[in-house]
Amino acid sequence: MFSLLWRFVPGPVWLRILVLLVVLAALVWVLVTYAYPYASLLLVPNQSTVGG
Amino acid sequence: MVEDHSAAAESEVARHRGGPTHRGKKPRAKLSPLTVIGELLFTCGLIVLGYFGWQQFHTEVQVVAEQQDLAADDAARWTVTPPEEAPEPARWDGDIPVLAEPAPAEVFGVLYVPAFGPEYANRMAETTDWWTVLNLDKKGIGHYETTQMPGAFGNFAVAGHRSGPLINSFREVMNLHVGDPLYVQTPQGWYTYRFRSIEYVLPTEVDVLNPFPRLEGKPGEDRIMTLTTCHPKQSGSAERAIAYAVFDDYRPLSEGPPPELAAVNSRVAEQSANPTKPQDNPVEHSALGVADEKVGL
Repeated sequence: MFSLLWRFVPGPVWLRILVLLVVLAALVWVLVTYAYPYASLLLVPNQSTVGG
Repeated sequence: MVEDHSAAAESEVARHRGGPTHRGKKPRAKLSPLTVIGELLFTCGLIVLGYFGWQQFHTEVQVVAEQQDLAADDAARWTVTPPEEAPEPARWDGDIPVLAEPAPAEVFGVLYVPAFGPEYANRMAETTDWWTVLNLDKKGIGHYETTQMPGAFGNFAVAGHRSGPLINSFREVMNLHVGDPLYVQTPQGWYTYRFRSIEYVLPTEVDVLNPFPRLEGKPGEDRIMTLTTCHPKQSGSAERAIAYAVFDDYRPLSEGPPPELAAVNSRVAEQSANPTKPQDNPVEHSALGVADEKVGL
């Protein structure tokens, strides 16, 4: 999978690394902005009230 | 000649295909499905690991900073707009004004606890409802609507999360030592409570919310504050940790924040740098009467 990704990106080695780093940064941004906050709402927090 | 030509063409084709003759590289191994599965699992693992890092950062840095900003906004609003807009003037318990019962989910105060962190500030809202108060990053501490308000005779009981994926208002509740101050700021003023003790109870033991915790009877002249949160810290809904504090002091907003708090909390110190002048809110003075008078116990 990683090797396919590497061959998919055109250009010399430094450009491939640059492109893949940009893709990685975009992926992290999507995770932090959308995926992780959404996941945190699905995880059940501990009960903190009495009698509830 | 003919043979040479065809051989040259063949090697040309092989080079274009990236075949074995090209620059003497080894032939590429076939991509195994196991490799793909392994790499996918590895990626998923990294994503999950990233979640744990993000959750720590979010609950301990981002939410905390957001709460401090919101608390500063609230304080600025309250000092500019005194509580005369409340439908009825504040009730008085002894010498201390008591805020009228707020509407459900309404933010009525800010809690400052230097033992939770020098800059700690967290808003408090009415009711302990799960998704309108307790779980929200902008609120996070809920007041049991069956208990009394700050400064009133009886028990001012609040709940908050101690760990977990959402806001952790009471994360450092075990840092409290006897005598540590807990400051409650409302539109009516500053109420100082001092920590006394902590105990562990089962979730069913609702008598911790009694006007005098654990005892039956009508409210006396004691003013108690009770914090309820989960226990054990990371994995616990099995028990509750209950922290008790007793009332110590009251200051009207016009006198500025308690000096002991302003000394450690820079955001609160900014409030005292430009205290509200009495003439700025004459209505508060007419409504509260003796607001200028320092009232103690």
